[in-house]
Amino acid sequence: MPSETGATSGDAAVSAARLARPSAGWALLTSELSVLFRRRRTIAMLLALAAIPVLIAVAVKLSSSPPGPGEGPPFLDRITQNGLFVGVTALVVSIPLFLPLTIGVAAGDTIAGEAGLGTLRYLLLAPAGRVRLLLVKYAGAAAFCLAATSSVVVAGAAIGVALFPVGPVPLLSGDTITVGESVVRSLLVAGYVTISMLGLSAVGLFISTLTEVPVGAMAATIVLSVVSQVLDSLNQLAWLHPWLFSHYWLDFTDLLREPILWTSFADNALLQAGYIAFFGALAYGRFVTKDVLS
Amino acid sequence: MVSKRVARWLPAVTVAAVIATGSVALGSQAGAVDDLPDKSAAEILALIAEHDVVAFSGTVEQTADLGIPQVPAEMGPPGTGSASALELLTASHTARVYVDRPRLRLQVLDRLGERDLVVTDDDVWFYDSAENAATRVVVPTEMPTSDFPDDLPRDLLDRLPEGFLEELTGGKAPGAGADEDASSSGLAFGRDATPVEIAEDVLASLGSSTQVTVGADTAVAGRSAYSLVLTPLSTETLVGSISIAADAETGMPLSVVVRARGQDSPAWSMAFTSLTLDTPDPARFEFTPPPGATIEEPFVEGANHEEMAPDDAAQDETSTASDGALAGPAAEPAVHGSGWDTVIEVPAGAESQSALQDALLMQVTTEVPGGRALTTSLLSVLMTDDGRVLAGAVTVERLRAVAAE
Repeated sequence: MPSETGATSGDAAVSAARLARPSAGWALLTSELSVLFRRRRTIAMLLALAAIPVLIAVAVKLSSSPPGPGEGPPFLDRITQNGLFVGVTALVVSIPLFLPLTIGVAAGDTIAGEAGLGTLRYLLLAPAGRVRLLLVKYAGAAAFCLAATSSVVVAGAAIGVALFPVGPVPLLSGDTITVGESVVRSLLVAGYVTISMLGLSAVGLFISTLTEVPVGAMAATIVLSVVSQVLDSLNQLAWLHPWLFSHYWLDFTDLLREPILWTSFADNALLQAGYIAFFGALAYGRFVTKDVLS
Repeated sequence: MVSKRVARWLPAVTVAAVIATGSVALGSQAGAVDDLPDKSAAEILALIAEHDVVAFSGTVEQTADLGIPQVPAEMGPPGTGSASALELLTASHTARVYVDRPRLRLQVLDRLGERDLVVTDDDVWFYDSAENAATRVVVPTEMPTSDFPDDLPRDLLDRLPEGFLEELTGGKAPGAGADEDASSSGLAFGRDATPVEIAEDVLASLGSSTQVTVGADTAVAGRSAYSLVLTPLSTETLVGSISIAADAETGMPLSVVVRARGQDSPAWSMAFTSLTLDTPDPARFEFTPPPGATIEEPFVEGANHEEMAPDDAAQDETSTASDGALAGPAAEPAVHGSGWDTVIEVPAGAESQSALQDALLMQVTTEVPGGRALTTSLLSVLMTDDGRVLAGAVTVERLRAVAAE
């Protein structure tokens, strides 16, 4: 936790210290990140995500007959021809459930976790202020989104290179790109999926300010991600679809076309920004005047 | 105290208001229409016929609401042959189009997949990423390039009833090989009359079956466009109206909307959502199948352009009213009636008999006296018990009456 608890008493002193030391926010962020990523739960979740591409690749490698086109998850049949597809297949598999599951745990824990442990009021004693704490907590959740996506993509690329041949990568359009370009595309895909999860994180942050029971906030966030996807699959609700935070989740494959289709990237970024702004503002409204008792 | 409680929610309310205003503003901006100089129906028709856009790229969106249950693409059986082609026409899709005549690339953007049609200078490739399969057809020299789906709005124009535009474009029959592409078709009729005069003649000949009116100016893909509305006068057809939007600047058709009688939402529409008139990157028109793809060359021996890709057969079946273009290689179809009420009859053949056994077909059709019928909001198909297939943009009652004749 931050060490800036020194000689501050009274609101005026707190805000003066805040103005005088912008580094207080960075210190808080650094400490938040180190606590987050040193937590066993976080490491276990990242390892579980990394295990998905490994499982897929090993299963395909060991099976006697390679999967044919259209069998199993999309792109599964490409793995045996090109190991670089392991990461893509793993992303398609993990986006609907596993990824939102871990994001829900990380985002639901942000405020409610501190409240549940009874550490929230000590955090608020620090001169950081509630808004800054909220921002830092959200930044931590966003960092987890990036880490979660990267662990799937990196583990997928590593196991793919280890077990299968690697060569020029065919895109959805049938054109092929070099391995170097495919690395760029993989980074873009990781960026896309990370951005896709930011809206869910903001929802989780808001829910987390509502309760002092972290498990409740985590479960509610995960349930919402499932509900959003169910609504997205109902044709009768087509008018609602562009407003659902999960609507563009699987459209990361638009980055695997030639030329890249940027519209879904832009639409997705705008949508997630809207969710961050709205649920961030709601979280602010709830948190700044919340009576913190624990 | 109360004001503080209210104030803390102000940011949330502000964000919500900004999002709402932004989405409304974006929506109205898309509908902003310039006021165009007035044109008569004949002038608009001539504008369309004269258009000489040779190179463009854009995004095309197709929607279909045919009143039949839509099977989500992921859940349907793996698309093969004509089933997949039918799905292309009867479901909603977004596609990117690159055209530099005669070269063309069409990318149907499926979720998690893509289907590509690449027409290069000397061959045609079809690639399906879900199947990782490529099909190559060598283009015979007389292959009509204008029949490929890039040009569906124009293609549909070509298929309008009663030789609608055929006369304008030098009498080319729909579906059959017109060796002119769009760039030269505008020149074909410049010999003895102005395009507007010919268009007036066409409108006069249409007069008995179709009412042609000029619709309100509109905007398609951010471009101002004239719109032309064709309303059938026949009472037996299912087609309510067909509206065509033509770019005010170039005359290029930008959208086609087909409405069915008794249905509010358009039954079928195809429209550009974005369009640039620059020449696309030549790399778009090169295609080498990716390593590992299965490659088929079905027509490699004696490429016969009568049996083209199954796409074309499906297109003809679903086109609103076609004057006998349903070119089955074996059975010669008969055409009953004319104009919007046209009914096409395919005599009993092995194919139609086997089709009757198809379980999926049994599900979508309903039992009617004398056979089974498939009714959609635009098209009816009647399969009689003796194996004949009748189809048209008409009611089932009319199909049964024709079948009984």
